[in-house]
Amino acid sequence: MGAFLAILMRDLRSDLRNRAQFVMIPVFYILAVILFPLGIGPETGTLSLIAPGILVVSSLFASLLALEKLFSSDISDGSFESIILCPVPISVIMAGKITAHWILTGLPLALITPFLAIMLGLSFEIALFSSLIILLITIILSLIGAMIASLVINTGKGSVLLALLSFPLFIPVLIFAAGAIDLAIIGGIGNSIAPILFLCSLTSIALPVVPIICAAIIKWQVR
Amino acid sequence: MSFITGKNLSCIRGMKYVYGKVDFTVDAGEILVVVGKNGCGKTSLLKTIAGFLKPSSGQITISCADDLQSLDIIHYIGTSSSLKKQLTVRENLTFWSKMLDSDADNIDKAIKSFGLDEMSNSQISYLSSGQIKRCSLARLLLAERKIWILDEPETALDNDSLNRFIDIVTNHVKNNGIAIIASHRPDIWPDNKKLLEIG
Repeated sequence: MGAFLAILMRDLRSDLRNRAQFVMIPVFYILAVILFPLGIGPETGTLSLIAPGILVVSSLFASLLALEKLFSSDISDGSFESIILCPVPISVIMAGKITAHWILTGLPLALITPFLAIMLGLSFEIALFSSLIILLITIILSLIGAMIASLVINTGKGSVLLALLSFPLFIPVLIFAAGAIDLAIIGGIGNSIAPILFLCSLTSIALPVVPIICAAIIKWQVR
Repeated sequence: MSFITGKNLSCIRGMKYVYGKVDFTVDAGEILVVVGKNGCGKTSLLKTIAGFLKPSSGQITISCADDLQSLDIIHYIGTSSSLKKQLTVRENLTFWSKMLDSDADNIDKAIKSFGLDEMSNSQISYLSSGQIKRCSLARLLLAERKIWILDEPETALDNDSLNRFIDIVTNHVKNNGIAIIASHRPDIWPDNKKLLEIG
């Protein structure tokens, strides 16, 4: 637990002091969502119809934007070489890094979502529900993304490869997340239990497994 | 039997032959200085000893460790600093102290030994390359480990800092430690060192 908190606090401190990077992701999310009404037109009926897709796809792009930086600085400054020789399981380090990454990039998106959802014409109740869904999918995107990011760090073509490899894995998350909000709009929040259960089960599988996979990949990358 | 023995080591990375037929032994209380031209494989050899690289042929034996991967008797300080630029010297050393599961008192000892007192609350991004190098080397004193593997540690250090660091290494070796150092200045290290020329 000590090592988990140490890496979590180090990454939070370090990234919070690098304000440009920290602010970039939520600003990108807001701009991406705002662009849709500008392109489609201000009719609330049309916007609320496609709002679930707009919110989910925009959060997916915003999450992707931050993923490249997740492990690259630790590789370039040699931190991983030293960490591997520490008496700490690497999977714990990975869990700490992914958690810090989610707090800095995923959590802000979930907190902004209710305002953007209301702007797109959704009711207050659905806006809060959308926020919960974005909260859940950003966890999954951070976990799946971390796995891909650890694979591509030494390729020199990180961002392009990351996007190419991540999108196919993000598709089920996108479908079920947008579906959950759609079903809630049509028949109330109780109507979207099935997609929520799918997203929860995906999270509960990825949470313990991904840090172990990332640890194995990073060890292989350092060697 | 020596504490660390390397027999007939060679390393091929990608399609490139990095070094070959390297033999060495190091015992407790000894310094092994690895010398050679740029690109002759000094760093690769150090990484092989630390367990990051597998030798293409040959074998490394460390007498107290059955499994090279699980060693926690090695300090490896490479050419990169392993420090976060946005954090202060103290914050970086506190992090590494927790990673090494060492006593928090060692942080002050390390800061003092490497003359980092005045800049302990400065962010790494505001320090000179020599000061960053001292901060990176200060990790050696956070936790006691028998084997120090150092890749060109003298780089960027001024004469005072270098003499101070040589004293620290000498002290470590006197206490039955081992130092394996890749260096372009073998003359600066104590007289009782072993030299290993590769390339």
